[in-house]
Amino acid sequence: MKIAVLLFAGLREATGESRVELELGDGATVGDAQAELLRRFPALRERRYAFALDHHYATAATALGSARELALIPPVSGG
Amino acid sequence: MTSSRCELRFTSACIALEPLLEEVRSDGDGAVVSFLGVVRDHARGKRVRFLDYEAYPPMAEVQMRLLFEEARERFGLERALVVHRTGRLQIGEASVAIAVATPHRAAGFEACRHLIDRLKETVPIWKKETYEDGSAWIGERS
Repeated sequence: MKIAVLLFAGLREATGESRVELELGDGATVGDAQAELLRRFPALRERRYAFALDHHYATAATALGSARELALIPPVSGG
Repeated sequence: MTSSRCELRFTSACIALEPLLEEVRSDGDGAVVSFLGVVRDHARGKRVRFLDYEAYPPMAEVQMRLLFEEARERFGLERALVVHRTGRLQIGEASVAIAVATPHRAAGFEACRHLIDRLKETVPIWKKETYEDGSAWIGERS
């Protein structure tokens, strides 16, 4: 399965990417996607972030299912 | 008559509060409460030169919708406009404006406070501060 991953703010700057595509096995979870991202972008290792799957907060255990978009959400600081 | 409408908008242009106050109000409202967040010239003991804001709008929309729902359950809020800037902001410019309209003032004050407090916790918007000697995305290293 394919999923788009979005990177924002400091994560975008650290990786040099705002959007990457991952190819993962069927039944993959957010955690599987994270493992692949860490392999590709070691700069993500010491970063703090949450996950969002199709615009809703998710956890590493959440199945990607038919989701189209995974986002790494660094600590928010709007307002 | 009252109607129900809560909305989040992003803009790269300066925010004008006055039009929002009129837009949010309906004839059944006795109170319009607003909040303006503005760019301060210092933070974390440093002089701030300017800010850059970045957002993830489709998710911000979803998360803000949950907060509007929360405010409706707690305070009966039906009418609110939230406008957030993106891009580069200079000192003194408004980064966010919130306008809520309610039949009575108590619910308005509470709902407005609730929306800004919760926005800062869950809505995917990021602020980068640039100082005389560098810059930092806020919240990242803490």
